[in-house]
Amino acid sequence: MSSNESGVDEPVTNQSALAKLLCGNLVPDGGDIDEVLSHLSASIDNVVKELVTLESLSDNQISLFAPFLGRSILELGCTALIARLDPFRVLLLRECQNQPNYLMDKPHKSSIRWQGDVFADKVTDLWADKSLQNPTRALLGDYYKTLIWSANFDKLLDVIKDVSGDEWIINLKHKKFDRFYNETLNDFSSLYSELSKGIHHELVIPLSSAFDRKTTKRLIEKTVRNIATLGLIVSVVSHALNKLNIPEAIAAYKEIQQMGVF
Amino acid sequence: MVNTISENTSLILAAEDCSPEEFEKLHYFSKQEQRFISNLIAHGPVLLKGARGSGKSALMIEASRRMYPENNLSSTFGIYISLRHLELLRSEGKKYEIMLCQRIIDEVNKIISQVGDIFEFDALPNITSLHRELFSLAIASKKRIVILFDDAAHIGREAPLHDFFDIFRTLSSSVISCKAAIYPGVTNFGTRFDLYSDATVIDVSRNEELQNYNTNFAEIIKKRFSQRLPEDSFSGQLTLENVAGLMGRAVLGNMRGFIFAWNNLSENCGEDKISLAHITKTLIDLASNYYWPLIEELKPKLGIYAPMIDPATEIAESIFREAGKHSKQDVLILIEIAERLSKPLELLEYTGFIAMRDASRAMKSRGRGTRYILNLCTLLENIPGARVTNDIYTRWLNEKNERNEPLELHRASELFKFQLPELPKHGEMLIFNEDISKLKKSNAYPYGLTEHKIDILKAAGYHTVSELAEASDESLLNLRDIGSENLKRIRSTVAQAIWM
Repeated sequence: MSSNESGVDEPVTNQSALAKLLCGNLVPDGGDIDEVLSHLSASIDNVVKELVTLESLSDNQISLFAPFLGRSILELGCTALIARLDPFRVLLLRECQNQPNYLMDKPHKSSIRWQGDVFADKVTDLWADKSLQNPTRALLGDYYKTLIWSANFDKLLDVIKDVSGDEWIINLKHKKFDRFYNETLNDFSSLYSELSKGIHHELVIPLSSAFDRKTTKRLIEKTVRNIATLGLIVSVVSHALNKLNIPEAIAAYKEIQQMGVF
Repeated sequence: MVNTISENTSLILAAEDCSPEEFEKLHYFSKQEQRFISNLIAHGPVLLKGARGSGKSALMIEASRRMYPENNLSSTFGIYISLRHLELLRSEGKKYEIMLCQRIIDEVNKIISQVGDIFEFDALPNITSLHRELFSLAIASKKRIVILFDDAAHIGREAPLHDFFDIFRTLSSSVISCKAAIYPGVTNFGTRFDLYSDATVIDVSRNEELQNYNTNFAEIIKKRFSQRLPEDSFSGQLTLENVAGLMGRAVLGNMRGFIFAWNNLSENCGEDKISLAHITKTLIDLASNYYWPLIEELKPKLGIYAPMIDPATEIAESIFREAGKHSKQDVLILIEIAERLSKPLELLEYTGFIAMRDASRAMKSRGRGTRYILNLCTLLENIPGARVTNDIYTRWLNEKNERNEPLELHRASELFKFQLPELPKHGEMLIFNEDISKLKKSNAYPYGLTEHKIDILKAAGYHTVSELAEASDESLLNLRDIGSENLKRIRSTVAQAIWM
């Protein structure tokens, strides 16, 4: 489903490969969580539509819009993956936004936060009683690392072992889990900051030099690759919602690489 | 037929030896390589990692050609610096910092003078001053700065590496990004630099699983040999594309190996059409005249890792023997074994004997393994009959993309029993003190020096490789029978001896 001008959701006919990999197979007329995922999928589609037109824009336009689009993909993608792995978190947010006292001009504790829902402080002893009092459920936090990413990374390598002709998969097969995870953590953290610099106009050289065509392409490619790779792993996580079957997930992953912006 | 169109330019093996005109004429970059080049130009730290001869320098040089000042329209100020300097290799700490900063300053000043001294640049050879001046240069030129450090990190020369990576990290800022070419097996980056957090690592290896692999190698042939190959240069089922693709696979996509292989094939077939017999001869020639000499050449350059060369050789012999016996092109080594033998396996990757394709893959015999593909030259030596048949040719090209299970090497294999020697705490680079007769034309140094030239050099008092490396151009050109072409050859042979 996607929202039209009057805010009414319309059936999704052409879900982009990125939205498909991140939000999974949408369930028409499903429950609350399906509505959330349909909305996220439509939002990702909207950003993707803009991303593929970047190539035709002027250098100045690219430096102005691309960081914003990159951040949107990063944030929408993380929310979609959280929704599929930990629906409770997103249902809570949805319900909170439905309350009459939810104000658009005020920050809310229920919002998805980069520090807290995506990143979290290091947990030194995962299984100590004290740590388990309020365990972090951050997407790239230490519990997710152990229970989701590490547990499923080799499973993914096994299902892609005979896939050839796909550059991202070839790169993925070069890595053991530790390297993959360290790089992912670092990429998510640096992308978030780097894209912010473009949005907030912090730099002292002209924006079009700092976010020139090549740098922007690299940032967008890195953003899409990182989030899509987590989406690919989610397709082998047994408890994930709206799972794609493996060939579908691999096909979507490959299709993403052919998006015009690269 | 091939021989009739071979030209001297095809013999140029290293990008850094090319003049700018030759560089443009001889180099072809695939779609994937174009992306690597874009990453080198884009903002952000990058480490370009690849075996010897994999094309790292060509990518860096091409990136610098696409930046300011060579490309006047670029928003990026590109500075390409080769770190092939003997003194850098022998320095550490403050001395290293001063020397490296001075190298950068010299290069920047050279560029500024090229563009008519329109920018001021008064850096002192220390990191603080250099950083400040580069920042001012970025503001004045309204451009980001990219510094490309070629030949930055070598296996076995790890003493100055922590200094290098400290500088790499400190110089990087919102307007300055550093890029460096490193080799597989470099593991010591100092305490302040984390390989996978402080930079994006790009593996430059050309992977045979990618689309257009054969076409890309065929394009290289077309670039290197200006005339088109006539259709009738190939016999039977052979075509330019599949022969180029097979040669690419034979050397695991290594560019220097590929050029070497094609030159050899040209010589082997003379006026005849290229046939499987010529390909067989070339692969066998490469096994004995290219791969094994590479190992021999490497030993004196490895510093503390020199004792790992003999085990690496034995491990290669064992892997290729087993793979040859079972007609397999790749092996899956139990991770526990691969980790224990990591250094010799890195040396084999470094020399292009093997290339890692899967870091962790399930084994039928339980557990997980690391999958390596094998160069087809040494493999052919170990296949009964040592001949490229129609069947082998088709299988190796794998145009139908069929699954071939790798040979599994687990606890019952010979590899499991290999014991590695203890490494010394300090290891000298033996090559510095080697007699220059070592540089004589040989399998290890195919473009090496003649006996006559060696005698002249010795008579002039240049006895060791180190003495010859430190000699000035002027003093060498003053010697009897040494002209500018000889000087070029001396420099490239010494460079091959000391560098990788």
